[in-house]
Amino acid sequence: MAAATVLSSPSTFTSVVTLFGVGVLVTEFLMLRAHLLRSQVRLYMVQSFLVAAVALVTGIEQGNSGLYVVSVLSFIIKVVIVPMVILRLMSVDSADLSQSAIMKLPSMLYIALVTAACGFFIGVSFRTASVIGRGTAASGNAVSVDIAIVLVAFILIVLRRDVISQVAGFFSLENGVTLFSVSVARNMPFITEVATFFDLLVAAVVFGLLMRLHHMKTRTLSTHVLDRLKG
Amino acid sequence: MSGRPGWCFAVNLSTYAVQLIQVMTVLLLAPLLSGAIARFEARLQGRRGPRVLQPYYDLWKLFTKETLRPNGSSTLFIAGPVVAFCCYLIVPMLIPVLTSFPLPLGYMGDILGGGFILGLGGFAVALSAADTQSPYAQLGSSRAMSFGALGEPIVLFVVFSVGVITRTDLPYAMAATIRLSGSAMLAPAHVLAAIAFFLVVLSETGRIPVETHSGTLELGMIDEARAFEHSGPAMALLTWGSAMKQMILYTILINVFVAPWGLASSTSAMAVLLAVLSLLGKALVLGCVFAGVDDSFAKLRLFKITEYLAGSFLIAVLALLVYLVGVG
Repeated sequence: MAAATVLSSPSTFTSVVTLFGVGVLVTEFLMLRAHLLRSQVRLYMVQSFLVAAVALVTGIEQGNSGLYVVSVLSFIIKVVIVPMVILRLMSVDSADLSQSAIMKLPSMLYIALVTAACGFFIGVSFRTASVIGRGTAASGNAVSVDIAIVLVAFILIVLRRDVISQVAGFFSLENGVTLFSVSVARNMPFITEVATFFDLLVAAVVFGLLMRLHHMKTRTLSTHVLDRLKG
Repeated sequence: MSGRPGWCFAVNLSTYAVQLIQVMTVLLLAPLLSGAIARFEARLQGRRGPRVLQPYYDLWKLFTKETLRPNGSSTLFIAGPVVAFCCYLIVPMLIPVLTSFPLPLGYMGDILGGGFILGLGGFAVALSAADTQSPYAQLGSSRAMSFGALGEPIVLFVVFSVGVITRTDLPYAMAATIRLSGSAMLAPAHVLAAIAFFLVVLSETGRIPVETHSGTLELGMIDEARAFEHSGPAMALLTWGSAMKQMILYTILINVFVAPWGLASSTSAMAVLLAVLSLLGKALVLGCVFAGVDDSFAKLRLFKITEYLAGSFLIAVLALLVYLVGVG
C-alpha cells in the first residue's frame, strides 16, 4: 500500500524519469571507455532500454497510450533489432577499439563532464522559456538531461576514431532526441515517431554495411586511415 | 517488572550506553562479517571455505604470539596499527550504526570528520609499513597513498552531495531524509552519490576490480602489502582494524545511503538489540553483493585503476551537478 502510494506520487515519477535520463547519460560516459565492439553495442542496448523505460513511465504518468507504443517500438527496434543487425553485419565482434581514443580516458571523461555541465546549464535557461515552462517538473528536468546527452554524444563521435564508437555516438544522439521528444513534445504526431524508428532501422543497416565495407577495405575499424582527401 | 520474563528488554538504556554498544557492535561483529563473506565467497567459487568464526580464531592466535620488529624500524612500526585501530573505534561514534537519532558523541564530528579519521587510520598503517624498510611493504604503502589520494576527492564530492541535499553535514540527517520520502531515495543525485560511494567502498576494502584481497602475488598488492612485516598482536590489530573499516564503510553505505531502515528510534534495550540484528543482516546481504562483484569481474591492471577512480569521481561530480542545476 505504502509502495503504491509512493509510486503514484508525482515527485516519484519525476525522480524515476530523471533518474533513467541520467542513466542514459552515464551509459554515454561508459561508451567513451568501451574497448570492444560487443561492449559498445551492449551499452547502446542498455541505453535504449532506459529510453524505452522513460517512454513507458511517462506514458503511465500522462495516461498517454501513444507513449506505450513508442516504448514497445523503442524496445523492439533499438534493444533487439538494431544491435542484432550491427553484430550480424560486423563479424569482428571482439575487435579492439582501445587505441581509437584521441586522448587518455580521464581527459576524455573530464571533457565530457564539462560538456554535460554546459548541457545542464543550457537546459536550465531553456526551462525558463515559455513553451517548456508550461510543462511538468519531469519535462523541465528532462530538458537539461537531454541536452547533456546530445552534447556528450557529439563528444563521443569527436573523441573516438573508430567507426563503431562513431555510429554508437550517432545512435546515442538519436536516443537523446527521442528522450527530448518523449518528455517535451508528447503530442508529436504518432506517425512521425514511427517514421523516426524506421529511419533508425534503415540507418542501422546502412551504417552496418558501411562499417563492414570499411573493415573489408582497410582491415581496421579506425577512421584514422581515411586521409586520402586530406589536403 | 523485574519478575516478568524479558524485563531486561524493556529497560531504557542511557544514550552513552547505546553509544558504547554502537562501538562494541562494530568491534565484535566485524570479524564475524568478514568470516561470513569469506565463507560465501568460497561457496561461490565451489569451495567449502573457512568457518564463519575463523577470523576470531585467527585473531586469538595472533594475540598469543610475540611481535617481531624488523631491524632499523622505529616505534612508528608498532604505533601505526594501534593508532589505526583507535581511529576505527572512534568513527562508529559519529555515524548512524544503531540509532536513527544522533547520540551525544555523534556531534564530535560530521561526516567529513569521520572520513578524515578513517584517512588518518590508513595513513598510520602506511607510515608503519614505510618504516619497515621492506621493499614490498613500502611498495604497498606508496601505492595505497597514491590511490588513496585519488579516492579522497570522490569521498569529498559524495560528502558535498550529501551536504547540499540535506543542508547539513550530519549523516543522520541524510538517513532521515531518505526514510521520510520514497522519492528522495530515487533522486538522481542520491542514486549517483550512492553508486560513487559503492565504488569507493570496493576500492577501500581491497576488492576486485581494484585489488585481489585474497591474492598472494606481492607485485599486484596494494593494501595487503602494507601488513607484510607485521606479526603477533600488531598484526592482529591490523587484521581486526581492516575488518572494522570494512564494517564501518558498509554501515555508512547501508545506513546513510541505501537502506536506513531498521534503526532504533528509542534507547530501549529491545530496539537496540533489533537494530544490531538488522545491521548484521543488512551488512551480510551487502557483503554477499560485494562477494558477487568480486567473483564476476577481473582485476584491473595497476595503471588502469586511475581510470576506475576517474569514473567514480565523474559519477560523484555528476551527483553534485544534477542537484545544483535542479535536475535531481
